[in-house]
Amino acid sequence: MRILLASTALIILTATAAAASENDAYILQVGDHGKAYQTQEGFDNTAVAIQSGLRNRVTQDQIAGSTGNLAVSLQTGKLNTVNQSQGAEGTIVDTLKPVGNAAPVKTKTTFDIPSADSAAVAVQTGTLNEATQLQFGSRNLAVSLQLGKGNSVVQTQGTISEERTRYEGGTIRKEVPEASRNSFAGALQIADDSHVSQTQSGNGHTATAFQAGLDESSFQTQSGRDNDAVSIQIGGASRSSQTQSGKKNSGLVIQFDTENFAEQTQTGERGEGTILQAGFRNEAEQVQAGVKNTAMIAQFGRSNVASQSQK
Amino acid sequence: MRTSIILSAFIGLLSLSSPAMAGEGDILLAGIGSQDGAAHSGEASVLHAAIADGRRSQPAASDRTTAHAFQAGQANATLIDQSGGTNGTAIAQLGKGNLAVASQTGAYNNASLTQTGNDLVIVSQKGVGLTLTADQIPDYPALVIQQGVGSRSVTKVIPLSKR
Repeated sequence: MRILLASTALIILTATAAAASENDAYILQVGDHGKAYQTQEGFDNTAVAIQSGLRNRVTQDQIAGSTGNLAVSLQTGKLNTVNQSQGAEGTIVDTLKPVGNAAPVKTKTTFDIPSADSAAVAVQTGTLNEATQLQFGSRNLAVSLQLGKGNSVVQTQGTISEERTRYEGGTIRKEVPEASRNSFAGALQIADDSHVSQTQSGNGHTATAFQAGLDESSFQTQSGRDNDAVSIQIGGASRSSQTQSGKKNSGLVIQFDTENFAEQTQTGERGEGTILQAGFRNEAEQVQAGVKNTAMIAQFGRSNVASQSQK
Repeated sequence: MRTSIILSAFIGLLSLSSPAMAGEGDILLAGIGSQDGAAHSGEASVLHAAIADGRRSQPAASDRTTAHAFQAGQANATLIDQSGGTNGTAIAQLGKGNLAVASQTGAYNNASLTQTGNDLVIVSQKGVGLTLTADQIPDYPALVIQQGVGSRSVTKVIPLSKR
């Protein structure tokens, strides 16, 4: 039955993509402890991996100036892992030859190679699965769907680039804000004990997490301006944490059921933080540092606590 | 704008299923954000604390750092702490056994607190030109502390029993 389902999915995907991209790669694995690696460079590539079983691992890397790429991973079973990256880190090595007989001095600089207009999709059913999605650049889409207990998602978009220059006396480090814009990270998790972590830097990004179940956790971090973070949790004993820095960022947390905790931290200007909770013994905390920020908490139910601090 | 729409929709949705809110929506909405109005009377008591002499030079509402808290139900608590200038606080609590605490440090701050259960409000303001007139003192348990220069008086009002 498992083989039939996986095969059908693969046939549908290959048929629909027949007239599509420059390079297409498909992997189907049924069984335990499988490993699939897909690496693509260039434009308009598609990588699809389907695995069914236990402790399988998919690694999909689309690197070196990638644009318009699609990476899809489907996994069913337990303890499976997906790693998807679009964009990469580059390295420059400069060699300086001093005057005289002194040894050459090599300097090494790392930088980000951005990816644009690309999509990474991970779908996992089962328990204790993990998905990691990393995208450098603009207008990217990262989506993760998980059905089952104890699953986790880590999504990172538009990292702060770091230039490191090593020389004989030590290391010079310089952070360079990557021009990352307008990407979307979405996570949908159904079942208990799920975890999502979303980190975005740059401008105009959106991070959305939807979780249904008990003991869920959501962590969203955004730096830059005009970013939106949304976390919706249905179920008790869940936690949502949003941290935003920069200008005109907005955070929204909606929680239903009992003993939930929501916290929002915003530093900068004209930030908007909103927490809505319905249920009992919920706790909401907002901390804002800067000017012209707005914090709003609405709670419905009994024995709830709201705390707001603005400095 | 988006926040307002979401909040309005959320309040509207829950008001359909919450008997405690029946007929009190107008009072609630009047309480939130009524930062320049006189004290309300009737079911919902509003404690409004502001700086009288500095009002003409206060920035527009959109330039103000604001904190809004709304709670419907019993035994809820809200704590708001603001430091710096031109802050605004609005707390609305619908139900009984609730506690509202607002602490503001700085100039040009506003605080508006509304409780339908008339339970307990604590307000602390430290800054310049603070004023709290007699008609703004609530008729339910409240602790109001003002400290600063240029105030009409340095006042401590502790009406912990109903007048």
